[in-house]
Parts: sequence; structure tokens; C-alpha cells
Amino acid sequence: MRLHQLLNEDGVVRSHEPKLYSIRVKGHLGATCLAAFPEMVSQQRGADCVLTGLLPDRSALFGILTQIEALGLELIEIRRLLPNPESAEISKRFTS
Amino acid sequence: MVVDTGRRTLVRLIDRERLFSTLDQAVEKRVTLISAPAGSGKTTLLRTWIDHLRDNRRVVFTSARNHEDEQAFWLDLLAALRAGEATVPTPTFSSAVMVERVLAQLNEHRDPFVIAIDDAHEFARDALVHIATLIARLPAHARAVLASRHDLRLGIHQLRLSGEVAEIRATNLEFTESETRELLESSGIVLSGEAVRTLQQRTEGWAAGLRLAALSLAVDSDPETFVAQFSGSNRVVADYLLAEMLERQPEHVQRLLLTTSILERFNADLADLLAETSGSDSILLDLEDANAFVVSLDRQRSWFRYHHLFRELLRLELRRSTPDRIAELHRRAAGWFADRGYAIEAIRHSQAAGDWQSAAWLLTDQLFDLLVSGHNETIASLLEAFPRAVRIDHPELALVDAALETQQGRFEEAARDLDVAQREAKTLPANLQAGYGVGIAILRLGLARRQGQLDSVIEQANCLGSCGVLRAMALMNLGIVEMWSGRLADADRHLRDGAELSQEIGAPYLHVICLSSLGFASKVRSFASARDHSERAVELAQRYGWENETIVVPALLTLAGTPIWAGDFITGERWLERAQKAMKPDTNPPEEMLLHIVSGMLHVGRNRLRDALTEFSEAERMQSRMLGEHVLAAQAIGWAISTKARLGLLDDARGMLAAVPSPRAAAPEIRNAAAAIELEAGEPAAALAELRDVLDAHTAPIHDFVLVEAQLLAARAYLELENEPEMISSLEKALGLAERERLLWPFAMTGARDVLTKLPRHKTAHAALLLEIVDILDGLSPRGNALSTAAGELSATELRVLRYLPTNLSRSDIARELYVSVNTVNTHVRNIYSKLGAASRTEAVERARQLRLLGH
Repeated sequence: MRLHQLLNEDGVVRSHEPKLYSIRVKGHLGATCLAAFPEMVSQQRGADCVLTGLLPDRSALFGILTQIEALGLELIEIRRLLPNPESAEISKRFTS
Repeated sequence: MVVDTGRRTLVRLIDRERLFSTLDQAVEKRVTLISAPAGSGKTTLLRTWIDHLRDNRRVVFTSARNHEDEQAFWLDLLAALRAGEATVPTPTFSSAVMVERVLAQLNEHRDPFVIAIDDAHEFARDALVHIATLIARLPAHARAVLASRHDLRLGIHQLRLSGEVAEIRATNLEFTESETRELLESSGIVLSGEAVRTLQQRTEGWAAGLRLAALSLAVDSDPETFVAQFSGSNRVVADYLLAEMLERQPEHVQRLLLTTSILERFNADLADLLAETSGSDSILLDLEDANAFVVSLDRQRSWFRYHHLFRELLRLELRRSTPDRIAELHRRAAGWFADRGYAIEAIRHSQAAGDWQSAAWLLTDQLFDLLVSGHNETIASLLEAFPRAVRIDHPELALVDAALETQQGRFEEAARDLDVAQREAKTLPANLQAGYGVGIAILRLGLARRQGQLDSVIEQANCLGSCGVLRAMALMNLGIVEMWSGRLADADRHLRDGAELSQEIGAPYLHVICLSSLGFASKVRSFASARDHSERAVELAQRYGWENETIVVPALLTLAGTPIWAGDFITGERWLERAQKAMKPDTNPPEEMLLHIVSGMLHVGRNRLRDALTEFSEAERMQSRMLGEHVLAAQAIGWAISTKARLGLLDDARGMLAAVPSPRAAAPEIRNAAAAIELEAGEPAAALAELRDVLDAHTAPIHDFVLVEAQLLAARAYLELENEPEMISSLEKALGLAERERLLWPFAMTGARDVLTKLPRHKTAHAALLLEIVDILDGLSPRGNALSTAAGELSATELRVLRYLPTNLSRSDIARELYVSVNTVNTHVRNIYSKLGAASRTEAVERARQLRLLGH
């Protein structure tokens, strides 16, 4: 797994693991819109689309949210996935 | 981009009467916030609403987008308020100053005024603070409308609480069924009622979706089926409709749309180049006429841009379909912009193409033009866009760094970067080297001028061989360094040449700086010429709205200093306050030293010696930030020592004197200070010994005022030695030297009041001057000013009443406050008016303030 070097408030460098997020937006994203989220994997869930991906930090997450805003997409839910069998499965796809 | 209200949208976008009346009502309040997601039709609503206004309201429509930097936004806004009158950027931009200028402009009119700002979500946090200030302080006849994609944190709770904020949100903007029908019909599309309803429901009344759908429907042979298929899809509305719309376009139009999506703005020529086609001009005009998310930016309809959401979608599609072509497109765009002199866009596209080499050279090459035209913020953002590794590989970028650091007062870093730039000069291609060398030389001069470093000047003077902006910058920097290092005649000559050249080449910014500094440099010749240059500098600055910029500080200080020398402290203080406001601390030590010296002088004139000491000590401290000796350094130390002595801090003063290094210790300014110590210590003979070299003219002072000071100190010494003939002789010399330029301030500085009163009137040829000086030293305004006599005549009770005049208390209120009858107050007020020569309460307050009987 790739580790990211981050500075905490004391100015001490420490390793930081990327976090797994899943973001649900309304509607199915077509090829054009998906090009906006190259770091995420998409799955259709009912009438929605769930984007899942490992994001290095909160700035990356806000970058994704800004992109969602720029495309006028409707944001339904954001979750940080904790390590469990299902997400471990997804994690593996990013790290392999 | 600011669109003035005279412009009419060419194709009639549908008038949404329902929303117009909502907006009409909303702008009754001071602020209207339109907050809704991308593509909701905010911009279109604002534009059509403005077009439909029929009353006498003036409207300015601007956007936080499409501006190179914050300064460009403010200048555009200001230009629009001034009905197109040009505004010119400055290298020392301050948003706070711009807010004041905008407010001042708004206050000039009494007509109802609306400022509409689109894309307000694009403002950086800091910029938003200034927008909030503007809103909070809008005059009563002005309104603001802000459109943004998300709620803004403006901090205008007060306005909200007082019901001054109206809001229009996404639900208000949604197209109703009937509006949907109207929109379709305006594009010539006729659908069944059922299909219109389906379309409205499927898009949820989202404007961008409906307009995208209309583009496809207009060319579709079976619109009902189109709607049915669309409503059966789960695809995101914009995504689905964009794909459908593109599919229905001819191939060359598709290519044009996709390739130009890399551009913020484009014209037909550029579009032809990127899309490898011809005839883009008619396509673009057709697209705009069809309302296909293309907007022209000028009256001639030569420049265009896309609606933001639409451009975003096209860019994504380009990235998806032909990712490997994008760099090439940016490269072509960069070349096109560079060939036509659009430096900033050329650099941005070179960077986007990953052509770091050309981006770095372009930026270095254009650095001075960008600096002089006030693009500091943009330069910084362009520099930041280079990855760290690239910046290390391209040492010429150190030159750019150095320029920005110098302006921010980070002198050591700037010097280090210049060394790097110089070391690496050889690695540049031959055709760039000459200009690069001149660039380094000018930046070294610029650094030297802020550090008062003379020795580096001579070696850099070779850059005078260049021409245009570079030569003007060189002359300016050289002249200023010479000025601060005391070579005033050379400074005078170079600054004059610099002023002339900058006027010739149309560089008003440099022109103001040269004139502003000439004020100080020509002081040796005469105060009149110093004032003249300074006034011209301030006047010119005013014309461009720069009157509060740092560049006028030297001029303001000259205008403050000359009346203070003549004992007119009221005028002096007024200019000084302006200079203090305009000064940006820690960016220009030589100017800051002058600022503290003039402030100290004013305090001395007002007999506030402790405050004066603080200022003189600050002035002296500035020397430690400079590499060469400032022409006024000895003066700052000298007056700091003398002030200490006069405050009775004799040990302190002696300590400071002993610490002055030897060559400087012989300076007449320091000798005067040594004499001042001896006088305060009761050693008049020792004082005269300290003054001998100065009085015998063995050392050349920078100005007569040093000699006036010496003669006055000598006169004081002779008075104590009871040597009347010598005392009279010294005083006469002092008065004689002082007469021409009205150098009255040294009499205050040397505590010469007592000795002046000992001079028999019949023994002086300067009796009038003598009387005036005594008045000034007694805290009165200069003679000849009728106000001075009135000041002393206000009785204690009258003064007590006077204090209430600036308040809004009525006469009976004042009577209650003072426990006296209204009649008594009336009598006092009448007397105050007549003594101050005032006809009204306002006038009395004004006069009293001039006389310092009242504070501000």
C-alpha cells in the first residue's frame, strides 16, 4: 500500500494511510461524467451511482466534491468505509 | 468581463417574468443572494433581467470568473462604475483600497445603482472578505446581487437580522411546465403537453438540461420519441443530453466544440487552428444565435466563451475520447497566444502542455512588462504552477522569484535568488542571455534601492544601455539608490530622465515613482521645486486612482515635511497622515526611515518630545535593514540623541553618542547632537567646542538646516556664557539662513525660545521672522493666520461648551450636561462663533479643529 507523508500540526512528518470513501450521486454517470473521476470506481445502485475510491487526504475528497458541484450533480451520501470484508475486497482492487 | 447595460443579448432568451418580478422585489433589499447549483440558469436570469429593466437604474454586471486576478476584477468593476473610463493596475495592489475607491465612486451618484456579481463562488476566501465589506458599506441608493453555486460565508448577519437580505434559491429557478413549453417554442420545438411534462419532470426543471435537450430536439425528426427514450434512461441528465447533442452535430462542429474546450476564451482564428478546420466564425455565430452555451464577449462578437458547465462537460468528453491530443492542443494555443502578445495565456497553456521550458522562458522574458502593468498576483500564480522539480531545473525562474520577494520585503531571499539566476545565466540560449543579464541587473538595482546600497549601483549601471521599459526602470532604480545614498545631484538627473522616458513610453506607474522621488531629491535645490515635483506626482497618481498607493509615499512625505520646516504643523500633519496610511511597513526601509523622521519632527513641533524620541529611534532602527548608509541616517541618530538630552536622559544620550562609529561621528548632524548634550549638561564651553568644525564650515552638511541648528545651539551656549555680542551674531546667522526656505523648525528642535526673547528687536534684521517663530514656539499657528489670535481668547467655560458642539446634543441638552441654563449656553455659543469667526455650528467645529481646540 502506498503511504503518504503528511505533516501534522507539530510539524512532525508521519505516515498516513489513504482512506476509502464511497460517494453516492443521483443518476447513472455516463462515460463523459466518469472522466471527471479517474481515481474512483463506479457502480450503479438503483437509480444512483456510487463512486468508490482510496483518497490520500481530505483535500482530495474536497476536490471530488468540487467536481460534483461543477457538473451540477446531486450529491446524496458520502461515507468513509471502515476496513471490513467487503471494503477489503474493494481496497484490494486499488492496491493490486 | 463586465457587460455594460447598453448591450442587448442578440437572441431573445426567454423572459422569465415570474423570476423578474421576484428579482424586482428582492432588490428592494440591500443584498440579493442567488444560490443554486451549476446550470440552474443564474447567469441567464441576471442578464435577461438587466436587459428588461426599463427604469433609470444603472446596473453593472460582472463575474468573479474570467479575471486574471483579484485586481483585474476590482479594476473592471471600477471601470464599469465610471462608465468605461480606464483604470490602470498597479504592482502594489490592495483590495481594501479598491473597496474604498468603489465606494467613493458609488457615492458620487445619487441614482439607484445595482452591482450584480456572477460566479461569486469563485472568489477566494480573502477576496470574499472585501466583497462583504463592500456590501456592508453600500450607500443607501446602491444594491448588490450575488449569484453563486453554493451559499457564501459573507458574515453579513447584521444585514440579515435587519431584513436587508433577499434570497433566491434553486427551487425558485426551476423551470415550470409552462416555462418549459415557452423555452421549447422559442427554439421552434413543438411537443405534446404530455412530452413537455415528461421533459420537465425528467430534468426537474434544470435549465441546463432543458437547453441541452432543446438543442437536440431542434434537429430531431421525432422529438416525442427522443423525450420518451430520455425519460426511460437512468443516466445523469447533462451526461445523456450532451452525448445526444454532440451526436447530432456534424463532425467538424463536434471537433470545434471539443478542441476549444481547453480555452477560457477563443475566437474564430484560434478555433480554426485547434479544430484544424476553416469557417469557425460562422459556426460560432450560429452557436451563439442558437443559444448553444456559447457567449460572445465583445460587441464585435469576435471573442467567445462557453457556459461553465458546458465547457466542463466538453473538456471531460475531450479527455475521455482523445486524451493523448490534449497536450498538443495546449501547445498550439500557447503558440497562438504568444505570437499575438497574450503573454499570460501563452504561459498558462505552455504549462498545461507540460512545455515547462518554453513556459519558463516566456515568463522570464515577460517579467518586467507584467510587473509594470501590475500583474504581481498573476506572476505569483504562474510561478506556483511550475512543479518543484521544474523550478529547480530552470534557474531562470529564480529571477521571477527575486522580483516578487523584493516587493514583499524579503531582501535576503531575493539576493540569494539573484545569485542563483546569475550563476546559471550561461545555461540559457544565446538569444535570451542579453535580456536576461539586463533583467538581473535591474532587479539588483531594485533591491539596492530598497536597501540603500550604493556600491552595487556602479556595477549595474550598464543596464542603462537598454531601452524602453527596462531603461526607465533602470533610471528609476538608479536615481533612487543615488538619492538615498546622498548623491542628490546624480539622483536628480537620473530621476528626471526616468520621468521623461516613462512619460514617453506610456508607463505612468514608473512616471509617478520618478516624480515622487524627485520631490525628495530636488529638496537640495529648493523646497519649492521639491513641492512642485511632489504635487505633480500626487496629481498624476490621483488621475490613475493611485493616491493611496505606496508609490506616492515619498511625495506625501515631502509635502508633509516642507510645511513642518516652516512651522505649519496642521498642514504637515494632514499630509503625514496620508503618508502613514499609504506606507506598507517592512517593504521599503529607506522610505520608512524618512516617514519616522518626519513623524518625529512633527512631534518636536508639537512639543511632544517623548513621542519624537520613539520616532527618531525607529528611524535609526531602519538603518539596520539597509546595506549602505542612508543619507538621513546620521540625522536620525543625531536627533534621537538631542531629544534624549532634552528629555534629561543624559547618560543614555552619551551612551548612544559613544556608539556612533568614527567616520559618521564627525558628521555635522552628530556634532550638533554632541553639543546638545553638553548644553543640557550645563557645559556651554564644551558645546561650542563640539560645534567648532560645523560652524567653521569644515564639514559640508547636506542642507542649510544643519547649520541653522548649529548656530542656534551656539547662541544658546553664548547666552549661558553671557557673551551677548556672539549670541546676537549666532542668532542673526541662524535667522539669515532660515529666512530663505523658512526653516523655522530648528528653532523648536534646539529649544531656542528663551534665547530668541533675549534678542533685542532693534538689533535684528529679521524682526518679523523672529516674531513668527516665537508664536510658533508658543504653540500658535503661524502669524498671518487670523485664527491664531482667536484661539487664546476662548474662556475656560467657552472651551467646555465647545467640546459639546461636535455632538448631536441640542443646546438644552448641553445646558443639562453642564448644569447651567440654556441662556448661558446660548451666550457662550454666540461668543464662540464670533471669536472663531464662524457662522454655524459646523463651521465653528471645523475652525476649532483647525486650531486643535478639538480632536477629530
